[in-house]
Amino acid sequence: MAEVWPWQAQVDSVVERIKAKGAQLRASNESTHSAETRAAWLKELLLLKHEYLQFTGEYFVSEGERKQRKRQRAQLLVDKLTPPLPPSAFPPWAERDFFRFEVVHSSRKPGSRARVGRIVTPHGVIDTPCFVPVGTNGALKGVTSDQALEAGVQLMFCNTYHLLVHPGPAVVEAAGGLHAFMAHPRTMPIITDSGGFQVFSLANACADEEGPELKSRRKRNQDDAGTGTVLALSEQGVHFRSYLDNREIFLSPESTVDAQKRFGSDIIIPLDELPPYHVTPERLKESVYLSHRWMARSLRRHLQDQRKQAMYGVVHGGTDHALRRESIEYLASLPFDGFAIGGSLGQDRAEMVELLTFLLPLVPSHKPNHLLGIADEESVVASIPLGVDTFDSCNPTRLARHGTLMTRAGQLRITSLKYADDHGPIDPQTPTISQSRAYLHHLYKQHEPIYATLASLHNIRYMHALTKRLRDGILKDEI
Amino acid sequence: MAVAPSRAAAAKSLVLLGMLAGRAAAAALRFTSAASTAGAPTSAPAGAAGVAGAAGAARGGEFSFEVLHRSRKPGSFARVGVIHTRHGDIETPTFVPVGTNGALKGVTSAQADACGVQLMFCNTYHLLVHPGPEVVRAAGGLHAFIGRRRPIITDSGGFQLFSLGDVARAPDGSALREAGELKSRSRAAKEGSPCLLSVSERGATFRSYRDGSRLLLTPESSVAAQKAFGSDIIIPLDELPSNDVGASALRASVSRSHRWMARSLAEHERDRAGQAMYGVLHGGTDRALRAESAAFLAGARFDGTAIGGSLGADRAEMLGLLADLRPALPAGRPVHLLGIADELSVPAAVPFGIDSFDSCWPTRVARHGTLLTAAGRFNVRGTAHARDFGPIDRDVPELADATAGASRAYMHHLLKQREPLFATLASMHNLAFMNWRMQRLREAILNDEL
Repeated sequence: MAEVWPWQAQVDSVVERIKAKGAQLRASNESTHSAETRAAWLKELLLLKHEYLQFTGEYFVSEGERKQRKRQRAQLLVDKLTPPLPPSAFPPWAERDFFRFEVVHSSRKPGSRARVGRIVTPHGVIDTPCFVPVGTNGALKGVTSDQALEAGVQLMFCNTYHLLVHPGPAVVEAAGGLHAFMAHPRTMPIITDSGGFQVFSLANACADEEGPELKSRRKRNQDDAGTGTVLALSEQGVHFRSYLDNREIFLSPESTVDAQKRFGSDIIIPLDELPPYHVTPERLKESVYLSHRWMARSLRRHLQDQRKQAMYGVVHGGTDHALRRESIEYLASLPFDGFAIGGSLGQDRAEMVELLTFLLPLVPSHKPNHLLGIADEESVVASIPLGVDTFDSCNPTRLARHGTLMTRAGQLRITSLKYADDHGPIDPQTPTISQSRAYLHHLYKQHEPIYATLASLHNIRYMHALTKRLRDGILKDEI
Repeated sequence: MAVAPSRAAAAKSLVLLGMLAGRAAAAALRFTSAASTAGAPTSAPAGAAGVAGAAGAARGGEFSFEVLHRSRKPGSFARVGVIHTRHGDIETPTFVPVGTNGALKGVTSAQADACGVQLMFCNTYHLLVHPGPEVVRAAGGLHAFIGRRRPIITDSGGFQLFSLGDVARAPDGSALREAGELKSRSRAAKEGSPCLLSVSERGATFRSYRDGSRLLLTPESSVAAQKAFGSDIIIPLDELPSNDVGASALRASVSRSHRWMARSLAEHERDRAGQAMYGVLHGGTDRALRAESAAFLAGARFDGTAIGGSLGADRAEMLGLLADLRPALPAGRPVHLLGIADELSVPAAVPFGIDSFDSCWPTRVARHGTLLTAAGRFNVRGTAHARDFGPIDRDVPELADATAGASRAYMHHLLKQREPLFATLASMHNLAFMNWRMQRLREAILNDEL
């Protein structure tokens, strides 16, 4: 493929210098040069090899060493705070003709950063702020894509991790991309993640069923059939074992982009690391730096063959303001098309609001932003005035499947016997589905599969009505 | 986007049907309209059913059965007709899926309409247990409760109640397995095992599997429940003997069924409420008993005939029995075959003048991976389908609309990943396929081929 930026020249230059330095080292010994000099040369050589890795995603292996390698596990002896590729290593960001974000109206209410926007993608338009349901395996649970479209869904989230496990990018590519494979409406765009979240959290994508999700991670037993196992983590990427057939899968900044290219999703996400929730400040900083190095590599790979996809950089830093600032400043200097907010946002909603209040003014407002994995009703209402454009979560649909339906008057537990003969609509204030509370109660009690379908559709429509109401409020400068 | 039948068939239908009286002709035009407007922008694969069902409603709210064409093939009882109900028309012969608990498994009412489901079967037994007739009545009837506008048929509750988990056995003692479906009573028992407490001439009492409470099922209470449901076609209470019953016990059972059905009919006639009642033909494989039962049904004011009870050990026996009993059935009434509708039995039984077939078989096998196609059944779990990006049925392109064009590879993926959407899409495909199959059979009857 044709290079859009002279990376190949830079790679060739690094290779030349590695060979020269290697030759220089091999030609010297204790008698010709001092130990300090040779140590300094060795360090320079290692830094050059590190630079090679940043540019290609692969370890530099000389001809002699190539035969000995099978699976690369060695850590490069570089400082874990080594900076990522600088902005100068990238072309400047330019408006794309296939992906556009327009701010339709910025709220004029004092102190509000809320805005109504439109994201135009090759597969349709997204009116923001909006809720993005999660179709993990290339399907919402019990809801067809057509039903989702009718319910007002304008963007669907699919998880690369599960699609890597089954059916794999080759099958999706052979089908003609994710839209074709999923028989997905051509008018609804898809966003895919990198796979990093599932790999690192060793748990399902969704956290708590009740209450706000705050990226909590629960270590699962290794015996849990639904989880994958991380085999090795290195600068290059992460090896993990598939939960389906025990196959070993390698996830690197480059391989996740290759997979998402084959998926053909409209918005893609670079590989990042998700540190444990309880982490020391030093470890958090190292994680942020690693994420930056990885995301830069993913961006580079993405820009080599853009294919009408947009890439969102993921802001990290936990609850540390300084790290968050450093993260967004770095990412904003790179030609990303938008920004996703990842990592831990605190222990409760108040901490999340405080962090977002600090962070969002630093996020370039002319590009769309996305809050990863959080979209319960209260969080959505609290975050939109802070300037969030899109939210994804399986919370609304998971709540539905487990018997909790959302209404303007609060959540209701459809399992309760008081709904057994309540023939009114689920939410009298929000028209969603035509079926009554009594029918949903009946279906739930009788374990009927369409309970999950109808309940999910109700909650999805409810979220759509909620965000529509909030958009109207922004247009009137009330939010 | 229904595939247009041959021009000759369409022309012939129009000429033939143009000779009938105005109302029938109107019905016929509705039937052929989708066929002749193959490019019509409808997303339903069963355009004919959709158009007729939505447009028509019984004149004056009365139930009636209109025969549009009797096959002229010698020896054939097959006929194409229209059943008019309060909730729309049903073109026959037709396939009737089973929505046990007032819901098809994994398919919403709107999706069922899109797949061309003209008539849906609901089980009174399960609805008695939950939510109970009073809740359904308070909702405004079953249609309002479940959100379905098209016709519904309910049974009496007797089938589940009397099939108590004995595995049906063939005369040589081997367990009967479904070759197609031959009334597996063992499976019916698994679905919420009924606990029968007592059976008497009055009726049966049983214990609810839900909360252990005692429930009553008598001819009167069964009809009262079905009145509360407001289904379009209802079925009187009958008794179902076990498959290995002896001759005298069978005779006694048939007698009791007749008495119960007479009581059910009397209860129904106190207020017909626009519903139709189908009498149930019994007698097992005993030709004489079957003939007596037919005489009883003919003498009573039933609106249709449902064929119940054992029909033999395999399809060949069933067809032989149908051949023998069919001539005795009242000619002008629609005939329904209870509990048998796999895609091989249906074409075999249509020449015996069966107008409707109900079964949960097509949707059940769908959930387990078996998809029906014009070229035969296949299970999409096989790895051969992992990279097959073609449509589920390569020979019938219009079926793709039911699943929005899902490929075999996608269905395989959903099944392997245990996604709930698999059950939905697979069931919708099989429903659309059965509906397509029935359309082809109706055309064949119009052409006097069946």
